[in-house]
Amino acid sequence: MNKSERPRRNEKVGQIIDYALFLVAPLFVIAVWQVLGDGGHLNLSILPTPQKIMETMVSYAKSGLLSEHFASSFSRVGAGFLLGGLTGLIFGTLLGLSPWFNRLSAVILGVLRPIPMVGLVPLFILWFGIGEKSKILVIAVGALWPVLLNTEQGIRSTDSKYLEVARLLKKDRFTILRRIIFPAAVPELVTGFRLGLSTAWRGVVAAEMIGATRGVGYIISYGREMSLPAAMFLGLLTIGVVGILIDILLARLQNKIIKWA
Amino acid sequence: MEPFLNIQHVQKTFSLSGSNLEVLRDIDLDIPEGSFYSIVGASGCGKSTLLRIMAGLESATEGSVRLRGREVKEPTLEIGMIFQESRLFPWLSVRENIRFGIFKTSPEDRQQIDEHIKLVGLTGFETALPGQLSGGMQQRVSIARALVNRPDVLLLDEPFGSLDAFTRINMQQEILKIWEQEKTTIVLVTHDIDEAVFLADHIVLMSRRPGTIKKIVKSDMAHPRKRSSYEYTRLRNEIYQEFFAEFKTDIEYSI
Repeated sequence: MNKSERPRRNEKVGQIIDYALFLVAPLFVIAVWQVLGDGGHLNLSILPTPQKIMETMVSYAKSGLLSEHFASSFSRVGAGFLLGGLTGLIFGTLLGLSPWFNRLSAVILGVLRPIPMVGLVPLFILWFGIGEKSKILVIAVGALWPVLLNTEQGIRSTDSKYLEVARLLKKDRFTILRRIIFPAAVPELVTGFRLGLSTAWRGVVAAEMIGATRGVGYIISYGREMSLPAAMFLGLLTIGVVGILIDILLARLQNKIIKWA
Repeated sequence: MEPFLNIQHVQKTFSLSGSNLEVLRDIDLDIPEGSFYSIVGASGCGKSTLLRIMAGLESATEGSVRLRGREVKEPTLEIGMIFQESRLFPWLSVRENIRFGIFKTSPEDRQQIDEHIKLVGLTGFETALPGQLSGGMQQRVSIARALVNRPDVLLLDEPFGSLDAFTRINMQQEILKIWEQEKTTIVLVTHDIDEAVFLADHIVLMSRRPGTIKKIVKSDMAHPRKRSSYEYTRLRNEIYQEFFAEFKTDIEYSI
C-alpha cells in the first residue's frame, strides 16, 4: 500500500459508515416493533407488525393492485402539480413584478392561503362532483402556494445592480424579464417547485378521500373501512417513502440546474 | 466648435427622511473627445453620483449633462459604464455576458465578440462562467461587455477598487491600452490618487459635502508613465497637498 492510497481508502470507509448511519435508527425501530409484536405486547388489530405490513405489500404487489394504485395517484399528482405549479408561476411572477397587483391581491391571497387542502375537499365535491376534477384541483391548490410564494420572492429579489446594467445597455422589458429576472430567480423557482411537488404528493391523501376507488390515498381509507390496519400502514408508508425519494431526486436536479451557484 | 461632453451647473440634492442633503454643487466640466479624465475625492464627495448622472442613471436636480449638444437624461448606448463590481450575470458564460452588451444581436456578432474577448485578453475563456474566473478576469469581461457597443464615452466607477494591488496595476495598464487602441473618451472615478496620476490627462479634484470641483490638474506626461519619475512624483505630491490642506483647515475649524 502506498501513501496516497491510504487516506482515500479511509475516505471510502467513512462514506460507507455515513450512509449506514442513516439506516441504523430506522432498522432499530423496525426491529423493536417486530419484537414487541411477536411478544404479544402490541394490540395487533390496530398496530400490525412490520412483517404483516410487508406481507400485505407483497400481496398487493403480486396482484398488480399496488402499481395500479400508484399509477392513478401519480397521474393525479402530475396533473394537479402541473396545473397548480403553472398558476403559481404566473401569479407569482405578476406579484413579484407589479407592486400594484401585489396590493390589489394581498388581502384575498392572505385569506385564502391558510386554508388547508383538506378543508377544500367538501367544497370541491360540491362544485365539481366526486370525479377526477375535484381530486386534481385539491392537489393543484396544494402545489400552488409554495410555487407562488417562492416565485414572487425570487422575482422580487432580483439584484437591482443587474437591472441597472440592463438599463445602461438599453434592453427592453421583455429581454430583461427573460434574460435577467427569470434566470436570477431560478434558485427560488426550483425551491418552489420542489416544495410544490412534495406538497402535491402529500395532498394525494386528502384528494383521494373524495370517493376514490383507486390510489395510494384510497388504500388508507379502504384499510380503515375494512379494518385492515396493515393496508393503512402500507398506504402511509408508501406515501412517506415516495415522498422522500421525490425530494432526493429533486435536490439532485436542483444542483444540476443551478450550476453557477 | 460644439463641446463633446459638457457638464453644466450640475447640482444634486437628495432628500433623506424630510431633510435635504446637497451632494453636488455647481459642477462645470468640459471633457474633450478622446481625453482621459479622472475624478478624485474622498468617499462621500459625490463623485460616484456625478458619474451616475453622466451615465443617465440618475438625474441632476439642476443643470445638465450634454453629449455633443444632446442632453443625457437617460442611459444611452453612446455612454458605457463599468462599476466596482463586475456585475456579470453568473448564469451566462463569458461569451454570453459580452453578447448581452450588444444592443441588437445578429449572426455577425461572433466576430465582434471575439475581437473584444481578445482585446481584454480572455481568449480561451469564452465558455467559462463568471464564478470560475478571478476578480480581475471578471472585470475584464465587464469591460468587454461595455465596449462591445463601441460607446464614445466609457465611465468607470472605481473599477479596480476591489482588486488586489498586483491585479490593479495590471488592469490600469490594460485600460490604457484599450484607451489608446479604441480612442474612447474615458472618465474614471477613483479615490486612489496614484491611479489617477498614472492614467489620466486631466485630474479633477473634488471637495466634499457638498461636492464641488476644487481644482483641475492637467497632466501632459507621456505614456507609458514611470511611477518613479520626477514629474510623476511632483504631480502626485501636488494632489496630496491639495487634500492634505483641506484636512488641515478642517481640523483648525473644529478647534
